[in-house]
Formats: sequence, structure tokens, C-alpha cells
Amino acid sequence: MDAKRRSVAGDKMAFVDMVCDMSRRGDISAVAETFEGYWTDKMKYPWHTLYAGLEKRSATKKPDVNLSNTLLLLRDAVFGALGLTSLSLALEMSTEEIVRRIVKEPSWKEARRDVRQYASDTVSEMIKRGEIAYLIPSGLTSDGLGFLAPTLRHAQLEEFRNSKPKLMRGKLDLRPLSRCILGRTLLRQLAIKEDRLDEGDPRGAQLLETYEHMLVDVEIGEGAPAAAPVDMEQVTIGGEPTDEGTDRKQARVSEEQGEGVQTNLTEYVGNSREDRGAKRVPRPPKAKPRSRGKSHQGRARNS
Amino acid sequence: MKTRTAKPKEEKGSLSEAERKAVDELRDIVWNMDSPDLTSMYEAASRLAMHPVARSLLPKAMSAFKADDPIIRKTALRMAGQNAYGQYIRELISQLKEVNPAEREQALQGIEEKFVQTGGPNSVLEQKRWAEALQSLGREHQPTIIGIMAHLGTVGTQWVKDLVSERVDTLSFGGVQRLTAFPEPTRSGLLKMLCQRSAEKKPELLPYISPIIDPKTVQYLSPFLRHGNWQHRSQVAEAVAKLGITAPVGIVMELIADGDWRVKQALLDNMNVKGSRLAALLKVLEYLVRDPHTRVHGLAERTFLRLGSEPCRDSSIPAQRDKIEKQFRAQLLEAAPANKDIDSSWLGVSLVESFPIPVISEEDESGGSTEAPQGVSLEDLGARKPAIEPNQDARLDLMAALIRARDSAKSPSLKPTESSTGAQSRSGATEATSTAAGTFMKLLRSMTAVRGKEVPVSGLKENAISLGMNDKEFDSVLEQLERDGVIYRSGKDKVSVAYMEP
Repeated sequence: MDAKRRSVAGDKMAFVDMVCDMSRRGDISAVAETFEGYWTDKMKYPWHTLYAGLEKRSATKKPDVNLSNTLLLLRDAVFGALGLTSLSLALEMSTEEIVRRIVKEPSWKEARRDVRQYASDTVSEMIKRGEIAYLIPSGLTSDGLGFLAPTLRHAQLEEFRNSKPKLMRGKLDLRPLSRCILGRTLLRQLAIKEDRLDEGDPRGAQLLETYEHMLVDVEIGEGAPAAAPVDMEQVTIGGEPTDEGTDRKQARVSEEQGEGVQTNLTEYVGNSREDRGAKRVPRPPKAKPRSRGKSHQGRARNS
Repeated sequence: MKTRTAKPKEEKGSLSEAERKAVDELRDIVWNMDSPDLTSMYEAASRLAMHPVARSLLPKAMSAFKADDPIIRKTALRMAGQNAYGQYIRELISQLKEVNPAEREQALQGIEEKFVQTGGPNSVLEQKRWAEALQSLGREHQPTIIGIMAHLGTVGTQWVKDLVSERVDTLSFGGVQRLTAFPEPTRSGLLKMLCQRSAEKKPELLPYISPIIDPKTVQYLSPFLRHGNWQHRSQVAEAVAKLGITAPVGIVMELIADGDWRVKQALLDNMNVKGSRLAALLKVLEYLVRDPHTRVHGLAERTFLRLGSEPCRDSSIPAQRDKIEKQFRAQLLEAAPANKDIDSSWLGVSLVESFPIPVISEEDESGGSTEAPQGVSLEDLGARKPAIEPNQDARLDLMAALIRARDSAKSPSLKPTESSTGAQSRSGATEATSTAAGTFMKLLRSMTAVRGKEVPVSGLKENAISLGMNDKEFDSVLEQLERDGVIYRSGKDKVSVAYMEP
């Protein structure tokens, strides 16, 4: 009996190792496949007892690096299979709870849909409450929760607005700024590390000014990095826009080698002279040679 | 989140606690990446790059692509490359394309490192995503991409196979070396295909293929022997020789049979004796030592000499020396003086130190020794009286007699005085009385003086018999003198003395 239990436990551990290995390799689609397989064969993919088994194994040993790595790998695997990697740091839920939610469902498709729904609800509530420290708009968009991104950005902006540095007891309090993401970016750009600035400090004024600018920027557009300026259209005096493309032709770097225009000065016996064209230096006119041998001797060469 | 307290927490206390702790660490990294303090920002970035399980940090890394600080950007790019999966791969690749090639190469190398460490993805979907994404990158990254494809299972192997078989002219030199990233059975298949295709289309790859050949795959080099010029063939010979000769079959025999001496020279020059088997090597050398080209058989002899001091793979030096001394002594002796850099004292032959310029010693220059050649003058010819044979004696006499007879015929005044002719003939006779031929001639001359030029043989015979010559002797003398040309038959039964015109 013991042996059977141990072998079952061994299987579970093998399964844990398998999932961890997949997670390490980045084989998240394979993890999704094991989830799919859970409903067909619970023995082969024991998601429902995975955490219990892990708990039992870790109860005897002291929690060590391996355990925390395993837990993180499992978290990555589960959140990745759901397609919610960006929420793995933001959500307070433990992976076990997520898995429990999944295995309750009748199939993987529904499980995924329901858990994602639950997660997005949780996130929107978090945004409402202002717990936005670990949420990233681009991450939400890649995870398919792009509809939450504008809300998130708005919340970030609000937080930024509310954290304007105020004078308190003769010092400029920067703590609210350092708690919000945009504020931290601002402080880093100005290289201000302190929590509080003295009133007379010139950086204080600079900070306030930059803060206002940044606030406006974020309110209007995407944020601190502005888009590249559009090429301005040139307009002629007559008011018509010039078309850059048709005006200038690209100057050729190398001039074209023109065909030789010089014709043969003399007709030579061989045809090859004609073919080669007139790139040759013109020779002085010579009498038509009767025999090749002698003509070479008789010719006067001017070099 | 208070509604969640319905679940009892005590059971899973330790696990969720541990998880919470780990997650908090990651959150700390994320938070500090935005810190106003640059030091803590860089520290967080380095922790981001080095954390063993950092996939949850992937979104943060991707958002850091647009950070102001270039170090952060680079770190984030490398980390994202190592952790990307699924839908993030496309984003990663588009970011890679915007970065300069050096950073791109570093990011790709980071990805390859990660795959070497943990292994590549096993699911086909993931492999396909990676393969598609990597194909869109430029050819300057081809070596690293081939290295990554080695970890992408069948999809990656197929891509590289297509590259080698169909687009071998686009294969870069570095890419050839990275084919070693593939595990064994695939690697040999790729090498074989590569050798075939590049022999036809891109033989410049040969110097890069040679280092990755090992003894099992050396036979794949034979397409280069069929298609290549002598430079390629000698490179193949070099590669084959450096691996050592284990069996005299296949590509080794093709190289020996090659027509160009430079190929055989390359084979012998680079012969790896320590890696070869003795029997096979001896067989090869046996062929090559009979080659007509000087360099080839010279190098073969040199290799024989080397065998006396370098052990082969499967034998020892004494055994080798034994064997080659018996069979190839001639070649060894020839090789010993020509290859002074190899130790040949074990042959038992002392080499003469010969200088290329001959030294002329003092004593030879002054005074002539007996060996010095002397000039020959006419005196020497006249003074010498070598022993001559009787034949020659007779001839000389005959010559003298002929000349006298001629002179006598020229001066007819001498004719009436038979006595003088007789005296002459007698004087001639005194010189040659001993011989039958002399008698005959004397007789013939006397009869010619009497009867005229043509003397009948019968009369001559009668007189000869009366003089004491017998029949047979007469006939033999007649024949001999006729053969010598002294007399001739001038008519039926008539002989004459042959006069020599002055």
C-alpha cells in the first residue's frame, strides 16, 4: 500500500517536474495542452492534486530556493497558459487558487474564459481602488485585456495629478510622487533622490515646473516620449504644396560610361578592331598590309 | 479581496507563504526599475537579468524597451529574448529589428544560451513561432540563428536542411561551423548534404567544412574530389591526412589515385601518424612510394622514416621499426640523408656529412700526378709496336706488294726487265715467301707481266702446282684473295690483280 502511494506520489512529482521543465523552456503552449489533457485523463495530468502533493513534500523539508523556484515556475506556467502573464505579479491570488478555479470547470475552454473573466474583473476593481503599482498598460494589451489599458492609464494620470508636491513644514514633500509610476519617472529624469526638498532649493521650482509640463503632456498624449514630428509640408509661394518626390532626382554617384562615339579611322583587316570600338588610341594611317608579318616591321610607331 | 477569506488558509500556509515571498521579490524588482535613484534602478535591472525564473517580469522588460537609459534597454532586450514565448515573440522580434545589429546579435546569443541551458520548446506550435520569427532577421545573424534552430526540434532542423540543400550559396562561413550545434544523427546528415551541395555550387566553404569533419564523416568529402580543382582536392587531402588513416578504403584510395602530384603531396605532408593504423598507413605508403613524381615518393620515404620515431595508434615504435626495416630498407636508406631533421640513427647507418660545395685540397693543385691525363701525340702512335696477329701481317705484306705492283705497272719501262720484276717479285717474295697467298700473288704477278692483265686460272694452277702448292690450297687461296678483293675474276676462268688507282 505504501509502495503504491509512494509511486503515485512519485508520479505527481514527475508531473510537477514536467510542468516546471516546460515552464523553464518557455513551452507554455505545452502547458496549455496538459490542461486540456486534464479533463481526458486526470491520472496523467493531476492538476487537481498537484499542490497538495507539493505541500506534502515540502512539509518535511525546509523551504529552500528550489521550492520557491518551483512555485514561481508553476505560477509562470499557469498564468502563461491562461495568457495573463502581466497579471502574475499584480494579482494577490496564489496559483493554487487559480488552479482550483480551473479544475472546477467542465472543460479547458470554459475554464480559461471564466478565469480570465474573473481576473479582469479583479483587475478593474484594483484599478478603481488605485492598486496599480504592478500593472503595466502594454502588458495588459499583449494579454488581451486591452480594454482595461485606457482605464489604467487614466488611473495612473489621476495618481500623478494627486501627488503634486506640497509644501509641508517648510519642505517640499515628494513622497506621494515617489509612490506613483509617473512621478518616479519624473524624479529620475531630474535626478532627485530625496524624499523632501528644502524650500529654497532651486530644484524644487524646476520640479514643479516639469511636473506641470509632464501633467499636460500625459493628459494630451501618450506620455513622456512624444511621437516623432511629422514631416512638414513645403508650400510654394502660390500656396500649392510641393511634391518632394517629383522635384529632385537622385544625383548619380557615377556618371554613365557613354558608348564610344569615335569611329574607326581605318579599316583594318581583322574584325576585332571594329568590335572593340574606338576606345583605342587612333593609329596613324597605314597602308593596307598584304602580309601580316612584313607590315609589323615596316610601320613607324609613334608612342 | 475580503471575500476570498472563505477558503481556509492554514493548510496551505507554507506553500502560499513561500510563493508570496518569491512573488514579492519579483515585485520589488519591478518597483525599483522605476526608482528615482539610478543606483537602485541599475541594481534592479541586473537582478532582472539574473533571476532564474523571471518570466513574470517579461511584461515589465518589454515596457522597458522604450526606457531612456540605454543600459536598461539593452538589459531588458536580452532578458526579454530569454523569456519570450507565444504572443510576445512577435513583439520581441519587431523590437529587435529596430535595434542596431550588434545589440541584436547579443540578444540572439542570449536566446541561444538560454536554449542551450534549458533546452528549446518541445511543442510544435512554439517551435514554429520561433522559426518564423527568426527567419525574418538578416543574414548577418545566420550563425547564431542556426545555433538556435538546433534547439527548435523538427521545425528548426527542417529549416536548416532547406537552407543547406537549396540555398547553400547563401550559407555564411560562420554558419558552417554552427552546424555542430545539432545532435549527432542530424549533424552527419546535414554534413553529407552540405558537402554534396557545396561541391557543386560553393566550394569556398571547404576550408570551413574541414575542421568540423571527424573520422566518421570524412567520406562525405568525396564530392569535392569529383567536382573540385587541385586546390580543393589538396585541401580534402589535408583534412583526410590530419585525421589519420585507419583503413585503406574509400576516400583515401581516391586521393592516392589522384592525378595531380600536389594532392598527394598534401596528403603526405600532413599525415597524422599518431592517429593512423600501421597496416593501413603502410599500404598507402607502398603505393605512393612508387609514384613517378619526385616530391611524392620523396615524401613517402620521409613518412617511412617518421614511422621509425612516431608510434602509430595500434603499435609501438620497436614493432614498427622491425617491420619497416625488413620491407622498406631501400626507401629508408634513401630517405635518411635527405631528411636530416628526423632521427635515423636506429637504422644503423652513419650519414656522411657532405657539403654541397666540393673542397679542393692543396696537393691536387700543384704538380701532376700519375693520374693526371696527358695529351697524345703522333710520336706515341709511331713509337708503339703492338703485337699484331698473323692475319694483319699478311695484310700488310699484301698491301706493300700491291703498291709495288701498281708502281711497276705504272712505269712500263720496268716491264721488259723481267729480272727486275723478278727481282722485285723476289724482293716481294722475300717478304712473303712463307705464305701460300704470297706465292700465289707472286706467281700471278709474274704471269700478268708475261701474259697481260687477264691470266687464265688453269695456267696459274699449273704453275702453282709446279711450285709446290697443292690443289686444295690453290683453291682456298684463290677464294680468299678474291674475297679480300686483291684479285678478281675478269672473265671466264680468268683472274686479274686488282690495281688500286692512285
